[in-house]
Amino acid sequence: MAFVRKCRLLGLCSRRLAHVARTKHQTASSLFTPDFVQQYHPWGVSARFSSSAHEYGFDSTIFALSSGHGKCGVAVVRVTGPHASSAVRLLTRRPVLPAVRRAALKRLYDSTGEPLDRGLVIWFPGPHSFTGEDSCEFHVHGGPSVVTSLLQALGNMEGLRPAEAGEFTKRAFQNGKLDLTEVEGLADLIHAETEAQRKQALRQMEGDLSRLYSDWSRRLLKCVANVEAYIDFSEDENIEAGVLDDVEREVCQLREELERHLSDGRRGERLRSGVQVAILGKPNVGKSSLLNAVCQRPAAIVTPVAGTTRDVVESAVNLGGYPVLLSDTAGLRETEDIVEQEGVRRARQRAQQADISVLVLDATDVMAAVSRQPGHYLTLQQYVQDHIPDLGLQGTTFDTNDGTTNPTDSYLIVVNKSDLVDAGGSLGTLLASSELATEGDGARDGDVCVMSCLTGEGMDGFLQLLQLKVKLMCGNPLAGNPSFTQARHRAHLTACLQALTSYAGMCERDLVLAAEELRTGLRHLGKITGKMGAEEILDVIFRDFCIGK
Amino acid sequence: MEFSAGKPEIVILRHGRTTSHFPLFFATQQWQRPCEDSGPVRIFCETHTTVYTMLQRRCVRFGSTVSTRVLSHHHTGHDRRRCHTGRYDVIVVGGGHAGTEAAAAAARMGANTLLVTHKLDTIGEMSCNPSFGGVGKGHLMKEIDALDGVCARICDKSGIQYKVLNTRKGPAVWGPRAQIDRSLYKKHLQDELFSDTPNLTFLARPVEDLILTPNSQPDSDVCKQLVRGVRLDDGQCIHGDTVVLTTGTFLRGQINIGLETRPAGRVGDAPAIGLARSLEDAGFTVGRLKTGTPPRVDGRTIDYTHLSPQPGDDPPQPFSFLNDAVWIKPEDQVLCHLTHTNSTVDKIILDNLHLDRHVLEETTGPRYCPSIESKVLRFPKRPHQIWLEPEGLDTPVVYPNGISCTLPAEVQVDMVRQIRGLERAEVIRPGYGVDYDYMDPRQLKASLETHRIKNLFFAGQINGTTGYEEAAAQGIIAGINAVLKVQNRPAFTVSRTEGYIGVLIDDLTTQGTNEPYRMFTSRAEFRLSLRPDNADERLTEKGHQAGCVSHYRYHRFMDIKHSLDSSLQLLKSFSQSSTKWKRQLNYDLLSETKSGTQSAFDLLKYPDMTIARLGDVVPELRHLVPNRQLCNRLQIEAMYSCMLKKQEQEIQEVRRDEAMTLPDNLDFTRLRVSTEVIEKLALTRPQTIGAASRIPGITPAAMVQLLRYVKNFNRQKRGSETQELNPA
Repeated sequence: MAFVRKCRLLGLCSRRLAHVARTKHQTASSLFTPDFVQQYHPWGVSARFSSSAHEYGFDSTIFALSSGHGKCGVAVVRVTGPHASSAVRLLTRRPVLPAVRRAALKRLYDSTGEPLDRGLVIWFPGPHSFTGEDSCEFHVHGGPSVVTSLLQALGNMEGLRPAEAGEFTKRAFQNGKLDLTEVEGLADLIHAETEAQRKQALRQMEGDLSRLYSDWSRRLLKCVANVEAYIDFSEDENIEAGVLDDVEREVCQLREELERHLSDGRRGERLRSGVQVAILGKPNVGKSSLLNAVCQRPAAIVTPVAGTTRDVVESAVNLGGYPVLLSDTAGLRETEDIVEQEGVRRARQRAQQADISVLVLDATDVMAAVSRQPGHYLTLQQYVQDHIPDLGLQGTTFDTNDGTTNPTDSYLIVVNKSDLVDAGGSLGTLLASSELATEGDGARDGDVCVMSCLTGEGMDGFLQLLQLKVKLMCGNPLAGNPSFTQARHRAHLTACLQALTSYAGMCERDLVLAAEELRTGLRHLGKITGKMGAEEILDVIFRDFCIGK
Repeated sequence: MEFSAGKPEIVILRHGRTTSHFPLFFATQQWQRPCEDSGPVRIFCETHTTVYTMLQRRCVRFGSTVSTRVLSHHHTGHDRRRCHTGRYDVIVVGGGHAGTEAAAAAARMGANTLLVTHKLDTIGEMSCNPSFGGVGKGHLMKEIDALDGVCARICDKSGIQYKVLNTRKGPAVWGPRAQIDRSLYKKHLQDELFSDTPNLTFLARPVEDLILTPNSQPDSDVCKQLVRGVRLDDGQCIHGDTVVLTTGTFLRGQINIGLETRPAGRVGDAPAIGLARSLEDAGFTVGRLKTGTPPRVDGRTIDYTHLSPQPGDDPPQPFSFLNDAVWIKPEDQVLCHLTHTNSTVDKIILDNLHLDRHVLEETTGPRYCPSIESKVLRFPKRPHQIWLEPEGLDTPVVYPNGISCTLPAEVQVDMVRQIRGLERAEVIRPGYGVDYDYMDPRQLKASLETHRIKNLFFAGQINGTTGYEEAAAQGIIAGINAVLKVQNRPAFTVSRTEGYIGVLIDDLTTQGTNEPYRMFTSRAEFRLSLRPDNADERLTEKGHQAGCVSHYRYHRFMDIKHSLDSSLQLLKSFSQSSTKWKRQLNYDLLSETKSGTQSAFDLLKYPDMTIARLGDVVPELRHLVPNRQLCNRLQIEAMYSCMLKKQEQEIQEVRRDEAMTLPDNLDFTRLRVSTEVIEKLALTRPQTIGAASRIPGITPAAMVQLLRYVKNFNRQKRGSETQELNPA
């Protein structure tokens, strides 16, 4: 009986093992030597946190979600590196790897033995794989819960960590696997640089989460700066003796907060899934009407009074199978009213965070601007560009003067209230003269729609355009999947926590080693919130301490 | 003709005649009687052989030891058009710390070197504080010494107080430091350079301009010119294959005291204006920086009774790897004293700020506090430290470190008198500020050669650094690379993983600087492996391959390395279980739960474990005990071995990136990246993938493009090579 129980614990088939024991002329229980157990549980008893800094070296094993986010039928998770084989073994709970480069239907289990899913497993031993190293792919159902569980299970394995942006490509390139043309195409892919992906990842979280991480980052930077100042300057300059005590206190506090966050993180982190669409514009152009029309219910209050909407009204809709979160915002204008001011601030924030921004224009305003212009010549783009400073949307996707465009953002221009102007005539010529496409294939940005929320004219066209854009966004692997981002962030936070724990131990022995631990922690946090290098540390040092020449 | 004290110079004007009497007759008219303690006399003349023999006959007459080493060739005023026949491999312009290291390195490597400076007497002058070393700076000095530089050895001969900072913080950040006697330093340095260094000649004349010609074999599209030598202020041209500019604060230097400004590079020395203009014309981006120095005080008028003294180390640690001890006895070291400012000092400064032009004007200020005015402005209402540092054994001058000041002279005196201990102090010379031009260091390659002008090198404060050690580090690298350029060998670069010199040069050439760059240990990512004790292991071998390390040093280093390696192996070979060790050593801190065995090397990690203690238990280790230096090094190695293993991955990654070099003639406009990124790359022109990745603002997409370009380029090069081999 004990034998069967042990087998179940290890996730092995007792019947098969008994057979093995008989052929070896041994008793079944004697099979469980330490080496045997080690082989099938390389992680020992379930290790909750992946550990040791050396994982971040070149020969670590990485995993990543290769399919986009949103509703996908199948999610593909790839693992590459020396521990890929143990990943396969542990997930499938079988000691034998599937046949090389053949899709095998297997049951996948997580670290506690619970079944995760049934999916395809493909095993590619190096060098004949995408990256040139041992790789494997898991094709599972695309629902967010399955994906999250799979990523967690992988994250809990020893020696595995989530990949950084472009890391698969980097390994493929370094192993000589990528052809030049492929690199060219993938270069755009890697435009999901650390900055953009980080911004995007932070966007996907609730506002207070990103604030929380930034706050930790700032506090840890101060600790690092204090310790560095103590090391570099305490003998020459006047660095107060209490500095290190303050650091220790702060580090202790950070540790507690991190631990708390990680242990009940699953309840605290609510990530938005679905594409975020923000509706922006001047007051009274018809944003709330648009929202109501799309949701087909009176979600937002509509009145002729400008400044009706104060809050951000969200509504989750299903657009052709894709989850979309529509946000109606306050009309962007300068106002004295404090409530409205807050509404405008939230609107601008939402504009920064959104995946797709919809700018609503009033057709009557547009035509009036055209008639004011000498020669009646004004392109729509010009109008939009002039409009932007009024709205305070500088620096967002609409501002093409900014120079820095993020290909993962996209925008849509809606000219509302077409029933109030002569749609076919002057408006039509205006649109024809501009370089914006009215019937896009969704591939080009800056698509324009002419519609009237009141009569319903042009609504179908708008919905089609929006759907196309959402589809592109979901299929775009650049758009960071929230579940994967969550896994990445957890891994970094865990590593940071470990570093902070080591700091306390090292402090008495050697301050320099302790400082190294702090720096490691800061580096991990930096992968979430932004790199903090030597210059940032020096900035804080010189700001807080009077250091002479 | 005015002579600087103690070093008379005879300028013999010849008019093309070779009679032996004429020059000496002329000379006696011009020559002052040498002082009693005068050392070698420097003689300038045209053809040295004649003078040599002539003076030999005469030297008994004058009584002093006349070292007849002839230093330069010199022309009379009216022969302006005739260019000089001398041709040098390396011309170093400027005789500060960067210049002396560069010239010494070049001469050591066998190149025919010329050092041109305004006044010979200022060679080795310490213009600001009378100390060398510190945390970070001390690391640089050790590395310069590992490459056989001069400053560390001279400091061992001229220091008056030696102290290692940060002794309680771990060997990685120990900062060797010393107060130096200014005159002794100058004397020893000049002795070494003038008498003991072959291949090195000197000339005391201001350099007006560079001799530039169009570059027929450009490395890149910005490298349009080639430097062929320098032109002096009297029109004379001196030809050199390479030129190293180490002019420090002299380019359009301007001194500010109060509201007065005076063009000067250092008090008493003229600025270099023509040169600054020529560099600007050549297209270099120039910035402006400022620095300052405190008033000098007479130590005899200082009241030390209530100030806290700070003694030196006993025994003092030498800077150089070649020395086992310094020249001074521990008990003869001078004391430094500590005092503080107070609120009256603050009040005087704040009341008189309107009289202080240096602080008021717009030149870039650093983030740290370079002057007492900025300290008071940024951190008001607290006392600031002042270290009273004696400037020499024989001189009463004291340098108050921490009150760098540009207020008018009377106000300075007032302010100084408010400081505790200095109530009756005499201010010998007021403090002043210097504004000067500096070259954007991003226009340099990692070898310190400029992008725009081939064979021209910049080193020292001209690149925007501050401090003698930073200047000397750049000087030695520039000197070595100038010679390697002449010899057509690949450049000598130090990477960030190999030394603080690498961190310094990489920061300057990749990120540039807009404040005077100072070295701190927090700038180094791999601080644990860049320690002062292992500088020779990191750099001496490399330097020897380049040719800048003398045989003597190299053999000594090889001996040390050999004994280190063999003792490490010995230590690692003694392995037994932890329980056994614990029993034998009677050491409680050893954890018995650790399974497996531990070697003697692993045991050294524990606090209070020394080789002596191990030697009691393991007799084979006893012979190591007397060699104190060796024991220290072994202990340090053990302490950091664990953490270093973790860092090893990162270090390998950086080294791999460094190994991928980018070609010189890379046309950055062809990369498909944003204009902003192209501009940054074009300005910095990185030479390795690693350097490119560290430029602030470079995106990973750009990195991929660069990688692709390199791959493509190599493929094409291989293709053309095979085509050459098989023309058919």
